[in-house]
Amino acid sequence: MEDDLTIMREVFDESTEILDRLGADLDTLATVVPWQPVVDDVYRGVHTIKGNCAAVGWTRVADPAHAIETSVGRMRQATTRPRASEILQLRSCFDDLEQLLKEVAGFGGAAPPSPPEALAAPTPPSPKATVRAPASGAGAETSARYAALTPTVDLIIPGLRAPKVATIANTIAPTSGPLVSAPTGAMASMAPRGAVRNEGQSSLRVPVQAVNGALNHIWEVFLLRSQIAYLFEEHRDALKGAHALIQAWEPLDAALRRHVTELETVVMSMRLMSLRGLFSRMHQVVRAYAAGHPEKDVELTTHGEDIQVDKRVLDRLGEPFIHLVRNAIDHGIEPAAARAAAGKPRAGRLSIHAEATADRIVIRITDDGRGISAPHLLAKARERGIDVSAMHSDESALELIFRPGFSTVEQVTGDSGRGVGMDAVRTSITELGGSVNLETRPGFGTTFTVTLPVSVSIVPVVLLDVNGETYATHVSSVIEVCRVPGSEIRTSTGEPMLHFHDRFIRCLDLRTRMHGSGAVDASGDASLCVVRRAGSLLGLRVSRVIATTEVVVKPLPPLSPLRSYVLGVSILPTGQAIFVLSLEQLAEHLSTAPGAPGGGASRVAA
Amino acid sequence: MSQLDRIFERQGQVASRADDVDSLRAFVLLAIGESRVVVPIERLREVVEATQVTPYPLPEPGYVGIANLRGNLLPVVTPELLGSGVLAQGGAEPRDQRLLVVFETEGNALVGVRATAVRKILVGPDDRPKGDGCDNVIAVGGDPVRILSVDALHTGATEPS
Repeated sequence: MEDDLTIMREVFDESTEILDRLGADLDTLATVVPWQPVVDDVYRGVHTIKGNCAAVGWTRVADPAHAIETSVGRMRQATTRPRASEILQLRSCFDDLEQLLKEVAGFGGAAPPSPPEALAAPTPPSPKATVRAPASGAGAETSARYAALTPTVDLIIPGLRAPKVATIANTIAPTSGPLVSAPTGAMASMAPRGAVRNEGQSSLRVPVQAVNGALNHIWEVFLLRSQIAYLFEEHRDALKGAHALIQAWEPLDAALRRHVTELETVVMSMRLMSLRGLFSRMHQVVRAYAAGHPEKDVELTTHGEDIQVDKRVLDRLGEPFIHLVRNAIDHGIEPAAARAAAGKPRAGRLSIHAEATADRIVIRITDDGRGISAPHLLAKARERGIDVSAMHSDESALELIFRPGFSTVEQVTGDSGRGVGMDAVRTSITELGGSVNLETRPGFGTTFTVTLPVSVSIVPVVLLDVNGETYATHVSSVIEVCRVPGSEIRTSTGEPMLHFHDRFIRCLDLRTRMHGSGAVDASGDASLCVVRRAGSLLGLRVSRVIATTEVVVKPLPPLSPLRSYVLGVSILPTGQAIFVLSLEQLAEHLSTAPGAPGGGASRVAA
Repeated sequence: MSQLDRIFERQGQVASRADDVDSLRAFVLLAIGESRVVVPIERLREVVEATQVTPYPLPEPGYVGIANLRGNLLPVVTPELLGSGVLAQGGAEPRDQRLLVVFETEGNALVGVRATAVRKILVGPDDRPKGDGCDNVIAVGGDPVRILSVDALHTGATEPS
């Protein structure tokens, strides 16, 4: 029960945050140029709210969200900017959704006379559970009513006002799922978020903001120490006569550095949380899906729930993991009858397996479904007018699923198939400094491998010089850095290649593609940073590999254009601001958008 | 005493009635190369010299880069992104733009614009005609000068491409 309530609290918090973000989107929608990315963001946000709420059984929110999603989908297809009246209606719909959220969560507002949906929680998750539920029931009836309420014109969704919706929903008695006997507003009775001493367990609950505030100060101290150390080194010659000062300084500086690092570790550990909540939520997702799809049996097993990860990372995993799991069961795993006919067990197997290394967490989501056919993807891409001439391997073809708006599904369902998600999944994971890759075998299943940093804070990076500008990239994303004679980079059918260990790898000269690019010296030694992209190795030629160091990665300042290849910014001890890059994403961007270096900004940091 | 009051007092233009104050606006006149633009003074945060601006990895239309202002990172944008129109290019090379003019948007975000010089503060009645397509222009010495709209960024008008 407590697990479920925790998950519901997370869903409530996340949905509320998304609604806040969408409200800001609407503020810009009347004037922003171009407007389409904003509508896309609204669409994705509503899609996520729908999915999250459906996962915990809050159909009173999920159903209208589905209707709103459909309306916004029409806006997406339109060639003209949404009218002011439509934006107003959308804002009104979001207000209603927020009110409904509060009601189903028992957080106030016009509380419905029936028990809040938070109380009609499904049974707690088990490590291994076969889920099956009838398609009928309250959810289906409510959906039908909303379908009847949803007009065919634009965005008008009459009846969405919370009191009316509550009245409608309350006339439908729950017909399935256990009704837990608990006081009204069960979630509201959860422990408050303020500081609560629990001395019996020798623990102290503190607000996340307080921990984050402490961390920010630690990072500032870290940066200041680096700057002071840099100044000292710069002026070491001037201090030649001051032996006593130098002798006293060096151990003090070493001690300061050690204490700051240890302090950061201690405070960071306060933010570490297990994956248990995330995995429990995935069980909810599977159960909610199965409730509406009796033709499918799905067995979900999870492993590694106790692995801990930074709350800041964990908070941003819910949305991408819901997408991955729902895609796996909706598109990957076949109906039971089809599986039996193919000689597979009737129940599809879905596993989420996490393991930790020193500084990374690897989570694999594996299904034993139909897999993904690269030729099928290529065919669909051609149908949609996508240039696939450069996609010579299965790996490159499979990358298609990460393209915005790309979907091979003919029919949009309430669960997936709108082409929303996989690009957002990769963007979310990449923004965390991680990566997502897939392996698939048609007929046998698919594995998505998500690699994440344990925390986002002081991270080891490689500093690179490209045309006189300094950039940083995570050490963990670099396979190898090397310096080879320029003559070893040969050209094959116009493409520079390097014999790297036992194979040839493609090379991309960042000096000709990035800021300050112009005439570059092709002779002399070549400095290369080898990374993995779409299953293959790729050599990125830079002007110089400067050093490895540790930096504090900060988010981009507000109003900056957001790019998938920019993970954040940092400040060097010299005071210079530098960009922290995902070389994998940068290579992807440069490969897919030749000649359009920056492209149109899709989002702006808020 | 408000910022506007201080300016009015300094210039001996203290309005005698509250109604007059309401109708006055103050602008900062900036030189960017050979061009001139103005910005509402209430949006001006500070002017600093010779701050290093780190360019974006790939060209971003309208964006110059990011700057470190005493630990605060902020985007540096082109005046064109703020509605200046196309500026005269003469003398407008970055090396001539040694100032970083920092503005604060309505949403309290900082944004910088590189400029050659800050010329003066202009105070006068806000009697610009409305709705004739010239809302973002004021007359300075008989010449039309564009008003930079910092809040255009806040509303997301940041994507000229």
